[in-house]
Amino acid sequence: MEQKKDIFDFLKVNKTEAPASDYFENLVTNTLAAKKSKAIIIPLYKKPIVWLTAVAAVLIAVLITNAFRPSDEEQHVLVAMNDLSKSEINKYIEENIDDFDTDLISEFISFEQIEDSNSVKTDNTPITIDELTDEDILEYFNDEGIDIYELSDDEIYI
Amino acid sequence: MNKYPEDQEILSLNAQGGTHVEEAFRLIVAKFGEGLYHQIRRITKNHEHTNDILQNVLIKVFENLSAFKGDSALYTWLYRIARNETLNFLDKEKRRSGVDLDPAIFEIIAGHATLDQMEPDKISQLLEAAVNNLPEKQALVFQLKYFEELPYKEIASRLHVTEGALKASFHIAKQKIEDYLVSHLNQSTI
Repeated sequence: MEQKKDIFDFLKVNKTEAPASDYFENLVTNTLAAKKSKAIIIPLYKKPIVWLTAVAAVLIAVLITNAFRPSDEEQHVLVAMNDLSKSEINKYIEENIDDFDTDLISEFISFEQIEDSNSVKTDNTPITIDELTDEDILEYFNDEGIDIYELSDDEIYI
Repeated sequence: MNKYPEDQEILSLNAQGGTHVEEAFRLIVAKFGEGLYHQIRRITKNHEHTNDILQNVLIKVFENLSAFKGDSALYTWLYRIARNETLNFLDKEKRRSGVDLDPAIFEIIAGHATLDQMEPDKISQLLEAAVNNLPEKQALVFQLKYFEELPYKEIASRLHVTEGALKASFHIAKQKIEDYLVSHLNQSTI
């Protein structure tokens, strides 16, 4: 009785070609070389802590450098200010004093300058009511055309 | 029988670190490289592609050998990496145009009603698909026994299983592949 054959009995395997005798030795050498060349570059950036620290250090360095260096616009303003005479600056301030607010002015005036200005009295220095005599007050009312007999008690008090 | 050290000796060598790591790696390639080469080349049918894939496989082996816990035989682990790398390569290669330089892996022996009408390349493709459908261990046993024609004793030594278990595994694998081939060949000839 003939033995039952399966499909594999009708297939003959062709062996795949074998590589050269030194192929595997060269393959090991090439693989290790490829691995080493990768190892030089990759590990630094594969470690997130090292990578993030490096980025943070660079950012801080850039911020510090820029924080203490005037921008281009600020540098132009400083150069232009140096070209102006003091009288030109005073004239500009007088003409545009309404554009300055007290916060802006205070940024440019030191505490010592304020102290000095308080100790020197000029024609424009404000005076207090205690420094005025009755004659000064009456003269002011006359100049302003105010009749003191028409003022109410509250207004006189002021 | 085997001129190379056992898996455990290679792994112990690798665990010692330093220059021993490279020595362990060389032993792995010397012991298993040819089997991996044929495994890949039977599918790519091209030495250049095989070379590229095998190098990628070996880089992964080198990078991950220390993490290998020895839950399976070393060759089973290597086979799995090579199989995945090859399938990934084929997936990418479909988008290009792969060139088969090798002849078909089969010759058809006259006498089978259906096979006589088929091209050997078509049979190769079907067999490859059938092997890929097998569980990993059966696919590995089939490859070593059918394509490599290794004796059961040597396969048992490589895979750390008994010869009886191997024979059963090979029988089941063959049966599944035959069922797959017959089913698809019948569809092709209808």
